[in-house]
Amino acid sequence: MKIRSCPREAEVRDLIQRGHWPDSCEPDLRAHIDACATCAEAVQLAQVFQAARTASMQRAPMAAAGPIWWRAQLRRRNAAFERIAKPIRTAQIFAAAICLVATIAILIFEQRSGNASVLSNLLPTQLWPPSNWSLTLLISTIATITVLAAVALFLATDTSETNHH
Amino acid sequence: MMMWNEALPHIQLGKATQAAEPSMDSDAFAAFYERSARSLWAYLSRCSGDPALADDLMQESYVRFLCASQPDGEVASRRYLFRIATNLLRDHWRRPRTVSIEELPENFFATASTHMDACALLGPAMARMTPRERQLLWLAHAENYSHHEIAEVTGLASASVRLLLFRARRKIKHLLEQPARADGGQR
Repeated sequence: MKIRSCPREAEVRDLIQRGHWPDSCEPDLRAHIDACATCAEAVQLAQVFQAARTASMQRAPMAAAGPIWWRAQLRRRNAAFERIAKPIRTAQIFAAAICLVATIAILIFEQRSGNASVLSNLLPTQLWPPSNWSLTLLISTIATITVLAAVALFLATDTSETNHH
Repeated sequence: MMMWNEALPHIQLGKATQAAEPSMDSDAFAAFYERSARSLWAYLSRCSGDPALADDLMQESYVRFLCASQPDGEVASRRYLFRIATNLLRDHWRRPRTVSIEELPENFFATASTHMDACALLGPAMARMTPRERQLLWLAHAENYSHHEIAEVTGLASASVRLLLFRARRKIKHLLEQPARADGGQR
């Protein structure tokens, strides 16, 4: 398909956009439009579409700008919180995983040490006075629980503050 | 990227983070909205053929526009807004379980646009165009966008816009010139 184009089409469209057609059109351009099928088509379409645009714009229901702006701010804020909450959730999962690994490690360690009852090995009396390995595990577990508690406390505080606002 | 330990003080103080800082204040937005909302609604309404859908998409376009980092300048912002609206229209048409624009009844556009049409022939003619053709024609002839600007708004290549627009122009010209025959042929 061969695309017909005219170098004066932009000039014609500009004329229509400015509202200068047909009254303020130069005679030579008017003569060109009469002779050029592409420009005549552009004039016809532009007039139809501009009229339709004006009609549609007059009927456009204008909602207040304020609620739209606030809605956008709320969405931005929620998106920002979401971005921040993501690494916290990751930390929670990481802490839970460490806790699980530590528990499994304790159980395996106690089993290998040859004690009869796993439960009895977990008793504080059995862990105290602790060996180096038990002490490390104990500190890791306490640290993990502390981190989890801190994160849970923070989330609870944050949620209550957000709800309050 | 903001680390969580950097962001915590912002949250605890009840402040939004940097990303939530509005790039356009409410007064500037109200002025921009006043200047652009009617033409955006006209575009959405004419391309979708559904004034209620145009209302929804227009509001969503502005919300997304505000949530994003806006380009500098009125013209670029306006073009960006039209691009968001175009993408929303495309998403709407692609969404499953909704009535496709091609499946709408023949008289849908005629009914919706008869009372708001300055040129009564345009509604039925537009109804026979594809969604993309409607968008291209509207942007070119109602919004007076250049091929390059239309390419930016629609995401098409500039050369494709030229060809598609040429075809769309021929098609709508034919429909506008011979509405009676086209109506008769369809019914």
